[in-house]
Amino acid sequence: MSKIGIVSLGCSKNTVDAEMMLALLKGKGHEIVNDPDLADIIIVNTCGFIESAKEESINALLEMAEYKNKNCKLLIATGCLAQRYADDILKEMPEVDAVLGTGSYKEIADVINSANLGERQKRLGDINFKYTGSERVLTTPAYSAFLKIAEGCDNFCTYCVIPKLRGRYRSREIDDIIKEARALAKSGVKELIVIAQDTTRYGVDLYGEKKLAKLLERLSEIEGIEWIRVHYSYPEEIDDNLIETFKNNDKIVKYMDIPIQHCNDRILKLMGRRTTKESLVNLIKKLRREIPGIAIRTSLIVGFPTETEEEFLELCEFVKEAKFDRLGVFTYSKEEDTPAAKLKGQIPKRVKEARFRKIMKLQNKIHIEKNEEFIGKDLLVLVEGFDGTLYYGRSYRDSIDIDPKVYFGALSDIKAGDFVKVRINSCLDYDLAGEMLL
Amino acid sequence: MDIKDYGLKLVLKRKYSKKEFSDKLIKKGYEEDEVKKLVLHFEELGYLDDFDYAKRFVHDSVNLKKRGTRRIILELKAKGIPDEIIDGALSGEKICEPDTIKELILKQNVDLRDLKIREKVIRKLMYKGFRRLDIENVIKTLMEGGIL
Repeated sequence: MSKIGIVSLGCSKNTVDAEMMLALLKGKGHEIVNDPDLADIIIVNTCGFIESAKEESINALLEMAEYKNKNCKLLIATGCLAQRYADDILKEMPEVDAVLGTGSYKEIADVINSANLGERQKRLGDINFKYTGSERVLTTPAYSAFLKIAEGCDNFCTYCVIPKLRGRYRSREIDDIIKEARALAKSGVKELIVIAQDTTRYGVDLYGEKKLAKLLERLSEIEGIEWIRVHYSYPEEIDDNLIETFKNNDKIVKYMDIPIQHCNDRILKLMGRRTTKESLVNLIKKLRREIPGIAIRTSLIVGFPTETEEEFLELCEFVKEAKFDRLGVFTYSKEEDTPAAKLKGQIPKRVKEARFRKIMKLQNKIHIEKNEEFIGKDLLVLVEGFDGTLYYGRSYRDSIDIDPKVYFGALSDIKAGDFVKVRINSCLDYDLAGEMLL
Repeated sequence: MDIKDYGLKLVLKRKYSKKEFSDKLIKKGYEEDEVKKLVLHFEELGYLDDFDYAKRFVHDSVNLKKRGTRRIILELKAKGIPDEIIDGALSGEKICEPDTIKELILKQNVDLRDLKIREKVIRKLMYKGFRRLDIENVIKTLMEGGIL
């Protein structure tokens, strides 16, 4: 049996795939190691949907390839880059022994067996396979886990290649998800982070109607689960039923991640988005009215083909007014096999980058103002660790890995995974700081 | 075989970094202590010299294999060469990555106005250890200059 190391890049959906592969390998008797120096087999679970992600994945492959001069006997590429450019990887990187696409990651153990026999492997299975859960080895802290409720995407935004890499939208059966969530709770998970390419569409393909609200209700009934956080909610699919569920269920964290990408109607249409500025404004107002204190995260794309300076400034005004609690901004990445790549009027890189900097500067100011509003207030914090001086953790406003933290002093003994109340007394640049209340 | 004889056999065949040499002997079954002693001895005799090894490696990688600095650094690190020696070896070599990138692109003889082809060329060069930004800049210059 071998020692397996894995490097997983990109989004949380990819992380879940990596965790499933690790469980499959562990089940076959392999040992999972954290240090690539110790690994006989290294898996690089790649990301490949935008330029920067592709570069990061290639760099990771190069970096891990060097371990083949040491203990590593097999180097395997999986994930979106592998799905997208399997032949390329095999041609350009002789160090890679196997490439598994997004429809084949469950074949990992078999691939390792074949590659061990010296056969170079390429497996690109059906990306529209029926998506079901399976055991996982969590790579997140023991008290938090992602819960992937669907695979693929049916939105076909014109800039995005994901449907070609991950297939059509396929929801998992509710009972299958609940079973996994129960097992996670039993293993000590307190926070479930519900993910999919589009969580709000959950159920439509399987049950003929949206079932996210129903699913969240069922998840909230699971003993041991304290927080349920939802990511990737498409604005046009957020309905009154879902808002009511967020509002009335104490276990559902008052945090919504709604990738809107832009606000200008012409650009939204070109992006293939099914919403308008007016409906976005109304949705944000409604969410803030109905769910007081809700933290709204969004992501935007600047420099989409044909985006004029005026339209960009409109987006800046929108950001100023909407005052998002959390904001991720991407410069448009021209991706082959997408309709947007064929549009005339591509924006020069320097312009895209200038727009990126401008909007981030704007958001920094909003972020600090938002943080200052919390001084003197008490926040429930999920403890994550101790940095040598202060404890730190996340409030309802902070999701794992992508958001800031709350730092605090504490007199009593606490440990990672505990929930504590913290009175905020100051703002650090991005983070909040305070004292734990007894 | 006596460790010294085996070691000599190795260094006469090709250049080794100290780490590569040690790993090879340990894998062969020699004791770690005797390997360490031999490495020191061979170093004194000049049979093992990480700086010289790194210099030659950089020279060949840049001029023959046409590799980017990023990949060269990773490869040298994997061979156990310390960072300061890698830096020294790199600074001693005349490296002009844009020229190498240009040479490799022109050798492809493809239409880079086609996004699919351009991305393929960019990936090919990234696998060689060049940075995306540098590759894009060269492509831009070539296109603006009417060379492509």
